[in-house]
Amino acid sequence: MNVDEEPIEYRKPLKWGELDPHRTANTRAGMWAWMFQRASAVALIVLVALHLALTYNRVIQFLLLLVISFHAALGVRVMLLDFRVVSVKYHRALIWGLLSLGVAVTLLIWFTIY
Amino acid sequence: MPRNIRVFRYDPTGGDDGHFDSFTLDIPNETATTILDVLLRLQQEQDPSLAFRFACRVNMCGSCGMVINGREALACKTSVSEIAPREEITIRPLNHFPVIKDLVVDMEPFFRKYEEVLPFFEPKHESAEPVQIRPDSQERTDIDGATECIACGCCVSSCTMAYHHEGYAGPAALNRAFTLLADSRDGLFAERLDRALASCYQCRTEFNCTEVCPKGISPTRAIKHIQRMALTNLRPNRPQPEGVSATTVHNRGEALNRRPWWKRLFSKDRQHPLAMATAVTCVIGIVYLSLMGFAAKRPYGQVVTVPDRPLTASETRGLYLYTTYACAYCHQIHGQGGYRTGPDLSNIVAKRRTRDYLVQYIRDPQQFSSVSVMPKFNLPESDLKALADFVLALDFSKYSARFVKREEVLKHE
Repeated sequence: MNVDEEPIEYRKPLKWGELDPHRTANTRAGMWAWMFQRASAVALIVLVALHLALTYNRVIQFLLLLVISFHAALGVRVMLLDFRVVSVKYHRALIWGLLSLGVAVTLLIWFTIY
Repeated sequence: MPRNIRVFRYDPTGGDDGHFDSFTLDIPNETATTILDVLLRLQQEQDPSLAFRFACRVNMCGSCGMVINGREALACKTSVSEIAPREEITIRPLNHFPVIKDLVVDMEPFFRKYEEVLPFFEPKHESAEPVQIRPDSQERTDIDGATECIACGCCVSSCTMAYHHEGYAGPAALNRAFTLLADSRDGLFAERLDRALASCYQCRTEFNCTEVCPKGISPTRAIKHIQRMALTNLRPNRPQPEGVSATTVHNRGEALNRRPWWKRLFSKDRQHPLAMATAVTCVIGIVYLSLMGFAAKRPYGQVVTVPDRPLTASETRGLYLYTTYACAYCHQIHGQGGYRTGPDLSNIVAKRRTRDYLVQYIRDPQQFSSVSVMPKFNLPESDLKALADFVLALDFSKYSARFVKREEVLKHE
């Protein structure tokens, strides 16, 4: 059989994380930030619906406020990077810094203003 | 010290979808041994059929990119000592590329996408003399080390979006586009920017490419740069190419522009997502504010929400005072009533305020909050207590809501 006549059968491309025992360990901060922001967006939809149904439930009110600040903090991070307000070198510091700020603002609103 | 090594194997003639083979290799000096050395030894000593690609051995050619313990890297640059002593060494081919054999992938998709962003230099003006660009100029410092890319494919392999968006050019191609777009001599600026932008918005700022790049380049930074260029070079103001050869390339952006805006809005190929998002946000904002404006025009305080139980004498007095002093102007009850300048009064029940607190608060709100806009109500003590009783009666977690008309409230006093 002439090998040249047979087209080589390529294996379909491996996906990111496929057959990879180190998948979780190598999911780094920026990717977690992205995934958590998407997850919090879904959580927001659920919480807003719950908030409309149970407007005065304190737990839902607090969770909604917390998830909003969480989602906003990660969104602000992307905007700061987009507009070069902060160098991309500090993108990891931005995650923790802005998330802490978000939690602080949540608690401030909850205990003083609200 | 012996190390356990797992290598991905795929044989195109084997009918198998790929598997890992385990090897054990004694590595005397781990610091001086690279993963490429390990692969060469495995091939020479244990399995001559093991296939992998390499050329320069000194981090310059980008041929030996692979996934080592879950992280994209050059085999010739990764020392065995970087992997913890008791940890197994796992070597896979790069993601998102068809596997030809074992660790060898077909880089055709990489270079096809690379070509999409016109990765070649086309001068704006013909010049016999070299153009001078100072090393400390903004242009040169912006480009910085982005020109050092060796096209190893590690960034594309690490990018999850390269898999999810077929049309995404990927980090390496966009990084290359950036080095040319930021170059003031570039004659293909407008076309290149259109092509790069079509891809740029697929980036989700995950920084995976930046984390793995063996040359320390940040394609994420390059992508952000291109996005900012779009803001300062909006389509009508973009310089047009001056009869250079690459203008023969099909210009997708111009074709899109001829379509009516409502078709472009919902097209998958929309060109200015940022501008479009701003416009949509503005429209939603205007509609929302208009609706709020209409809502604010509704008469307030015509109906008062009270708990569905007989009210005590004090609470009834409080209801009368609430109506007389037009508290509903600022405070709703259970989401019903007038404006929302102040908090909903049923919410105050949820905050478990005491009667004394409410009495003092209504008498002098600024004593508790200097920013409060609520007027002082210097009423007799009994009236203040009646108002506090009424507010504390608004517990709709225990009782359902009942509505009382304003005229009825005023009539009963």
